[in-house]
Amino acid sequence: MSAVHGAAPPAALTLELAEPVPPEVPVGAELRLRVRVLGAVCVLRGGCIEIMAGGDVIAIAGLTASGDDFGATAAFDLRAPVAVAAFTWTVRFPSQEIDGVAYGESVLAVSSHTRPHRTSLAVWAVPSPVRMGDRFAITVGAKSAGACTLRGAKVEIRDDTGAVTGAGLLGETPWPGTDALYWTEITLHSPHREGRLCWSAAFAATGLALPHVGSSAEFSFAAVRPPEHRVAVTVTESCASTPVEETQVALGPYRAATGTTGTAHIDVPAGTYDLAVWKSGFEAASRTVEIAGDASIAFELIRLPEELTAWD
Amino acid sequence: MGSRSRENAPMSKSSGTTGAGSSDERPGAAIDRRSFLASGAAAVAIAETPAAHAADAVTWDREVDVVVIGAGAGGLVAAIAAREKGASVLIVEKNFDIGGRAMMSYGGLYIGGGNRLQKAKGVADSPDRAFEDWSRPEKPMGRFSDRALVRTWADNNLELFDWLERQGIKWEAYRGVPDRLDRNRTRLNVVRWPDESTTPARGSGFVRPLEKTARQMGIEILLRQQMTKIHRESPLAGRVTGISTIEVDEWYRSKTRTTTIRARKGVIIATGGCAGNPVFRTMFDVRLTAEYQAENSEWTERTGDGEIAAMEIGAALGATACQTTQDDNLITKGRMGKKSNGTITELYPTSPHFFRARALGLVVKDYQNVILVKENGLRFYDETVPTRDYEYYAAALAWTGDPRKFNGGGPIWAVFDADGVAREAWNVTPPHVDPDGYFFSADTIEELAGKIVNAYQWRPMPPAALRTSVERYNSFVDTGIDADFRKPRPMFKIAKPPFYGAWHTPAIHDSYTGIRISTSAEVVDLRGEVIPGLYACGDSAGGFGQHGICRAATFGRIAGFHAAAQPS
Repeated sequence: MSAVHGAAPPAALTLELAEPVPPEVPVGAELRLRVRVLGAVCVLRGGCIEIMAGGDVIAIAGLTASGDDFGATAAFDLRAPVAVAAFTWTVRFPSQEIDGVAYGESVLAVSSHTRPHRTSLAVWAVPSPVRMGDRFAITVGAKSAGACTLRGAKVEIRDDTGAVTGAGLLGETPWPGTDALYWTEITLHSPHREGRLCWSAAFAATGLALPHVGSSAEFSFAAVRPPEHRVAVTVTESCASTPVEETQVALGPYRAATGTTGTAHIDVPAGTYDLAVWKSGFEAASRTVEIAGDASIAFELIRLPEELTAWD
Repeated sequence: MGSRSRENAPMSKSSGTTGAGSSDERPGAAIDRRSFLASGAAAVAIAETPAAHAADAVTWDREVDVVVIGAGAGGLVAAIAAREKGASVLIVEKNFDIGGRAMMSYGGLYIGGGNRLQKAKGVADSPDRAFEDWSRPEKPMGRFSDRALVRTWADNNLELFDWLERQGIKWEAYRGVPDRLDRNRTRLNVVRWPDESTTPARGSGFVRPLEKTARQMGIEILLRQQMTKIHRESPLAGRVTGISTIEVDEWYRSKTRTTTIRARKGVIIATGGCAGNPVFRTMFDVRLTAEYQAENSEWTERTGDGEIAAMEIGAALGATACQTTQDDNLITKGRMGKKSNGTITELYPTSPHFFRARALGLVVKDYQNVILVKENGLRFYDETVPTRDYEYYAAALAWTGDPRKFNGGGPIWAVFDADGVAREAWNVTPPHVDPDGYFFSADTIEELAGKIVNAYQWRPMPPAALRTSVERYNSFVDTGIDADFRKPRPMFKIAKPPFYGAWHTPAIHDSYTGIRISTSAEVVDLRGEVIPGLYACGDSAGGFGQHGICRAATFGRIAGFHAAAQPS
């Protein structure tokens, strides 16, 4: 931006912004401005400046003395245009007389460009594993970077080929604990094939009050055969043989946590699995197991030496 | 001193001859503390006789026998020891409270030698065994130490144990298992000071009793006084004559009032080490740039004041390899969500020091609940490794592309979700976290990246990079294999909003090197000569890679005794 000096005698004033306006701002964004008037020979208290868009005055701000400035406005907010376009505001110090001193008009052009608000997604509560062919539900939330309401906007789910497999409309209120994450639950069908699947949520962000850019997010889940056998995994501490509770047990994609007896029950189809056991403070451990029927598996965990967990 | 002969510190003129025996055996122990107090002499213990000292043309505002710089573990012990031997003593401390690093410590001392508590536990120990353990060449922590200093520590254990009891220290118990280089159990915890209102840390049980004893002995403690210079008769020769200080505010900003203090017998440096001084510490490890915070800097800065002032008058550093052993807790993963993110220690929110901490921080119980990313939004290592895995730090401190800073690795951020918060039962609101640059929350992962604004984050975290990191990690949860960093069986996705980003940059624990000292705690110069009248102890002193209070107390006591025995 550039300052334009008032041409009228006796005093030529210069206008400037305390902080420049960014070259690009989101549509409808509230921009905080503070205008300083330089070159006055005395305090400009009681004077004012105008902000003009096109030929219209969209704001008037009074001048006060501030610090070393003979005249400056307090900070005030102006809303950027709601359409995506370049825009220019004119800051104008009209001809006026203050404390007996006549000042001519001064103007300052302030230009920027509006852009659509960005959006982003969250996908959660995705069950995994899911039995092949089963229905399951996920939760999808969308957020406008401008915290705009997104209620009623559509979210689609696409599979790994890009085909739409589900859709939902964002609800009325943001997800608890969030600022403006509008969400919906979407029911999907797991395909009739086994394996890890990577799908995506897509948000076109159309039909909103302000222009937005769409977004997408990936999520994954494991599609599995129906379980055939029940496996009991009992975790004990090595040497002590005491049960280790609240231990995460993973048998391939199947997961469970041990209870107070140190046992976790997992239903799985027959097959060969990597059995992994995790509890903080113990050595991570895993081994390969073959499941051909109901089974009980004993697993020993080794507690990490105190030296590795002591802090001081 | 000890029961056997041993070598002294190399080239020390007077080391090994004083300072380590019981108080009754000390030369110059003319005044017993109790009789001294009973005599009322404490009231005049500190002579305040402004005098002009011709040697270095300083006009002294005050004058005492011994000046101690720093009121932490080493400084308090040194002051009491010197006072016990009849010296007038003044302590200057730049904080507005005593305690130093020890105040927020775990309150443990490596003190054995076969004392009565060890015997009661059936621990067979001796000075010889303690020495052998702590100079073990197969362990990096013992490999690089000056064995003459280790021997001095070992030989002083029994006397120090009794002496500390006499100063009011109460022992809690020995740690259940041998710790660090111990093959015996020598790590003894003190009883926390029962009335301590600033911190739950046990270290108050060491420094508060000593503060009480020191004040009862008539030792004056000048708070908010930062040492700015140690005076010597000539810049690199002659005796040390005193110090200059300047009054500082609660942020250690200098005010205008300066004080010069003549030390007739000696100056003892106990300023707590250099862990909080990036310029100084990068002499030992150039990666430890400014983003790495010194633990407990909310209580004490540890900016190497003593080391710098001593080096300005010719002091050498000692056994600097101890600082880069890549062993023990030289650097830790720390807490998260606050700037000064020491691991175990904390302040009560009502503490007068809490304005520096601003938050309590969060402790990660299970690193399955978070991923750790660098400033670029990318994971860099298996998050679950223990805090003493130095390959983790090698990755954390690796360059990520800041064109203005080639050393150091930039901030590390823990990223987690609402489910992680629930599993860990974290409270993610102040005062548990510091939202002013060290803890952020957002509705989506991309938004979280955009919100991370911090003085050490040299560029905005790329939102797409962070999103890709999270999505890729979540896919590892499905497959059970961390294809990038081999985290053992990733268990939990980061998916449920809100999302969180917490400062989890490694924290620097302590200093394991510093000023070179003799076995009498005398400061040694670059030519191997003792600087007369100058002593160092605690983390300010180098040569012995032992963590904690006992090293400070051992050489603080020796320094105090030795200084008090000097001619005025």
